[in-house]
Amino acid sequence: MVGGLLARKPGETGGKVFCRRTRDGEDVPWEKIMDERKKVFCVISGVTVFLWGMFALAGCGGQKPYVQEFAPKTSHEPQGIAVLPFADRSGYDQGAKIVYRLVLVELVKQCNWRVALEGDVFKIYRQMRLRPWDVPDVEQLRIIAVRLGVDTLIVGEVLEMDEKVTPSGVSPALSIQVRVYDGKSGLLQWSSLYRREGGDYQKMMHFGMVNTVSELGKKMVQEILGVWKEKGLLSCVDS
Amino acid sequence: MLLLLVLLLVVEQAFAVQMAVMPVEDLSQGDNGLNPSMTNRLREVLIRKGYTVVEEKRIIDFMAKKRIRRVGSLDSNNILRLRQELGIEYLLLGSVNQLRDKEPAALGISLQIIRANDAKMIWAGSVQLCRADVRKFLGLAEPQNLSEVEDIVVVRAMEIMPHNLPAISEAPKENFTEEIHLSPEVVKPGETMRCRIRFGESNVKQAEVSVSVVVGGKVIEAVYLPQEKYFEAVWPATGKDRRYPVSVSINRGQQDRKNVFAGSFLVDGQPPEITLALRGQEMDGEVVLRRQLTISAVLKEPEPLASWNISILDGSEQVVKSESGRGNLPGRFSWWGQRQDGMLAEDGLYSVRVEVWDRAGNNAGATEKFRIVRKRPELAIVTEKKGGEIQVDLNYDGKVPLAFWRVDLRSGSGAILLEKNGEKLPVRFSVPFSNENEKISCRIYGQDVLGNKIRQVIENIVSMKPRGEKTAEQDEEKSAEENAWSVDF
Repeated sequence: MVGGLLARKPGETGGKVFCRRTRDGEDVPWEKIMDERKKVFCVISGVTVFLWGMFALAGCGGQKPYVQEFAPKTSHEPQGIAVLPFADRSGYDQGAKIVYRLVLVELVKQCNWRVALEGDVFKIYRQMRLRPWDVPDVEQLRIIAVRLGVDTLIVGEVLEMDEKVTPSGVSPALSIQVRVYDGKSGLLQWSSLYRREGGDYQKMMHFGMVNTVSELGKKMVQEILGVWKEKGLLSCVDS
Repeated sequence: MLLLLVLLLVVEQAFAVQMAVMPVEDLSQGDNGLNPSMTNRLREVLIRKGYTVVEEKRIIDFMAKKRIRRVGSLDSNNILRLRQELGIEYLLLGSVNQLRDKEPAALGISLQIIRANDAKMIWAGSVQLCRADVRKFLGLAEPQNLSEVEDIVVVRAMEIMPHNLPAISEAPKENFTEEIHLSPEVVKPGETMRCRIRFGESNVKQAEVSVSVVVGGKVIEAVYLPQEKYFEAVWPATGKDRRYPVSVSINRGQQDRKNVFAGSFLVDGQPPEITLALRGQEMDGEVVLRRQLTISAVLKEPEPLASWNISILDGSEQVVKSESGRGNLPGRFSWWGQRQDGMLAEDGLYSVRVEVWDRAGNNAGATEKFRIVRKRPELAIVTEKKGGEIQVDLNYDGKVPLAFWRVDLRSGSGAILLEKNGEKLPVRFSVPFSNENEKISCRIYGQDVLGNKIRQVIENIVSMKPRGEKTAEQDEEKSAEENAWSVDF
């Protein structure tokens, strides 16, 4: 490190050479001082780049959907999946329907699962005199599964949905719970809980920032399905 | 050359994929909102991509004819009918999930392509875009408003849409979900159960189909009702109180036999047992209402209820307040002693009756008595002048015991001459006085064990007539005091 004396390049002050003097009284030449400075600069730059990289990675990684398994893991290829109407506890207008549609889309997109049509699901709800926000009991779930010809049922709840528009930008937040039931027994197999905000996906400056609840919902559903597949809870259909 | 071009156009049209674009639902406009602008944009883009898109009027006519009131979704039967009537191969269902026209403008859509002959969703995708998502160098070519955002969203949606749609499946789906209605869910023993089965396809020939209902091992043949266009099985609900599973057997010949679990029904002949608990103040083992009475009705064996009724009856069994509701009983009821007309109910003996009906219609009830006591405690004060002092007797002969009392006597200048308090009455005390013109005021406070309070102010006890004889002036004073009394303070 540079000592207490000011080190200057020769010639800067009328040709007078200033060097660092050690405690032993020896003068350290100018070149050696510059080498030390370069090393310090390299170390500081390296640490800065490393920290920036860590922050950038933290923006896209970190949180994962929480999955709670209730039945022994049996990786099966679902014959068909029905997404039952989501319940809305957030108070966001049509929040449950927005997430419902996104789940339908991602199920078809991510794997070639046969997904029951929304119209068929609502028709059976009408026949069984169930309101869209009702959670069917075990027997009702079995009936719905048989009538729709599916073996997996997805039931969900939108716990929080918010989109604050401020002069500095948009800040969406979404929290959802998704439960998966076995159509034959009507029993709960696994459940996922996930909460994210638009800023969680920010990488650097405005890059990666999510500005709408629908985009946030899409990303979250993709991540939830990804974790299910990663844990071997659902497997894709080949054909 | 021209002939060749026309021929090519005709051939292209003949082999073009027939697609129906259903009206796009707009969730930003609330429940069952419609977005005609997005519907038209999607139609135009699909036409440009080479699809033969069914005219909008024909779609609307179909929806009106089939009484399809909701947009954004369609059931399998209607998709099949749409295919039969309009000859479509694919169907595009769209929904505007989010639309924000204030800054920053945003739009989110989701699309589904459904193959018409087997009603299978073969593709789905969603596109979301906010104006804040698009940042370009010097702001060049950034969308400036919602309309420009819409343009980008539609272009992106068409980019992710598959160019070659999967081929039509070889074996078209014929039998879609049957509509099965099993009612009622809960019955009393001996009541009639009904199971109705309606087939989705319109060309079902009832002579070729036999339908039966299996209940607890018994087979009940369903009869076809041509006017109603459904099969119906009717049977009496007999047997012990328990749940009975029901399945429907559909037989279309040796090759095609199908069993469908239709649900279950519960036979319930036992009325629920209900107990009532009243929580209020208690006096001599009796629940008393002064301000509020809390009523809790609990079923000994909890079960879902169809309806309930709660009534407050006076001594002559007349209903003074009543309320009823559907579904399960609330956790508790609170009654503040007001009649149906809003006035306070008078003091006396009352009863509360709670009746419940379970889902089978079995009725049960419970009654409990209570008393309303709101009357203020009345303390009697008698004065007597003896020599140089005035003797005061304070007495109470009410039924409700006193919790406490307090008396203070003050001189004309406001100085306290005597202060006494206690729980029991009668009590006697005296204060000295010098002449008849002297003024001694008396303030009496009291509260019974139920909380009813009294506050009485006598401006001058010297001028009071002895042993309860009152002057006209005192009578006026008394009535003024009564008006000034506060029931609750």
